[in-house]
Amino acid sequence: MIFLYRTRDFILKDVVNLSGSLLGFISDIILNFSDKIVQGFVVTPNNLFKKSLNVFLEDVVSFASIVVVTDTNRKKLLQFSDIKGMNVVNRNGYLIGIVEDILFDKSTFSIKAIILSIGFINNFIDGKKILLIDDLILGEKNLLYRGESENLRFSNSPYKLLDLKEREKV
Amino acid sequence: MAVEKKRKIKYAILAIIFIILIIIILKVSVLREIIYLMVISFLIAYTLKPIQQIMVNKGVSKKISAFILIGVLGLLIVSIFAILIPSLFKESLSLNNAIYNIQSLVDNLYAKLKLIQGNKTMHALINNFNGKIDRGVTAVFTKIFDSFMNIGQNILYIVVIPVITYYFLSEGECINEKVLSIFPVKSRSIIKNISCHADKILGRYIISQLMLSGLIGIVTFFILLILKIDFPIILSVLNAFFNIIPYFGPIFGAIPAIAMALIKSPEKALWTALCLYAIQQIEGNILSPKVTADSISMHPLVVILLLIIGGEIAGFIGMVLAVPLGVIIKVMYEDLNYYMF
Repeated sequence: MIFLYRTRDFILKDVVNLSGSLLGFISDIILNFSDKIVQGFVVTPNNLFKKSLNVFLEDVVSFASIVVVTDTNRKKLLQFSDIKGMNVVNRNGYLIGIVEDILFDKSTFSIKAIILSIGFINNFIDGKKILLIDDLILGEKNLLYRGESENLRFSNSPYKLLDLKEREKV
Repeated sequence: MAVEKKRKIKYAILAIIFIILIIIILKVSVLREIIYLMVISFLIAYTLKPIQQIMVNKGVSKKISAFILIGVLGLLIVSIFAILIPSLFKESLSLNNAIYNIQSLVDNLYAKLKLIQGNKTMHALINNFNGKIDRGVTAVFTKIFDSFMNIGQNILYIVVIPVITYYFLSEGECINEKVLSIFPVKSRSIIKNISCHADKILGRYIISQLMLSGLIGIVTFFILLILKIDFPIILSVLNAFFNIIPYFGPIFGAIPAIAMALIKSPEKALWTALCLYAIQQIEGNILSPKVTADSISMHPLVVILLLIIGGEIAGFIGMVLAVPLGVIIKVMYEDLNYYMF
């Protein structure tokens, strides 16, 4: 059984340093697309005139409702917001969907898959598409999906609307 | 099938209860007034909350900080009334002079331009213009007077609102828990999370807006003082107040100041307009996008659209509330999108 996180599991969490002072809240996630791993978080300070900080996973002490960190830095790195909203095309150049979220492992923080939005209403009817990260290549403007067969398809459906559990009972 | 039917009945009953509640609230004036009171006090408490949070972090207890804040706010309002009303009446006299000046300026212009002197349409146009100015000024003053009368009538509000605001500030968490217990257990944690997220972003937005307004007010005051334009305090307070609205606020706020300067001399009006334009440019292009867009992570274009929609629906109040409501809707959409999938 693998447990996976989404970006929203971390966004807007408060970040505190070891001496207990509030640094701000998590506004984004830092990705390393070549190693397919989540490297850390972007922290937006509560003070409006301060620049945003980066926190690497090595510096994080605990993830509860509050994230405790030991060190911060200010490098410019690839963030999730840079690829959010990008088009994903397949080998023939057809648009498959738009990047909406990522799924990453709970313990290793390696990125497992990308969630695609296929349209505002279609998301509710058909469910969002999930593509495995190994089949994707990041380009300047688009992501290329080079998956071969569509024998195995993953999707993410709104479970509340379908009421799967109650139907099973019937 | 039985389960399906049961669910349908459940939803129907819920919908009926909801509709009946809305009708009762709309029909019974006492309930409506109480809700009105609650909403106003909640809004005041909510705007004061970030400041209170800073005080609590400094080591002041919650109750004392709430008490101090409301005391200071009350004092501020009372002093504004005590200082502003006398000066307003004093200024209304010279304002009449100013309007007379504007009219004579137009008349002079009319007399100078020989070409259009015999033109009946131009004559009618100028008469129309003078009439419009007169009517506009009278309308503004009657409106101000009426609103003062209204405040006098609703003494209950003046007494009760600070008390309710105090309780919202000092015991907000306890009240939150009680309100949450209305909702079903299943959705309680989701609602709590959504409101927590919205609260975080709105708190930043309010602080940023208050800070920008204060800054603009102070800078405007000094500029008006240096240019020696009448009523610098009121004009700068007005400009700061209008600054609550992002993007459009400074434009509205600058108009009265420029009009005042125009009475003295067109040259001064030009200087005022240039200075205020410079402030507006600095604020609108450097500070505001950084502050508003960063604090609520929304595109500036969306903010402008929201403001136009808010202004169309509910005027000034709509413009003030448009962005916060937009933030709440955005957070709700994002969170529901997360919890449903």
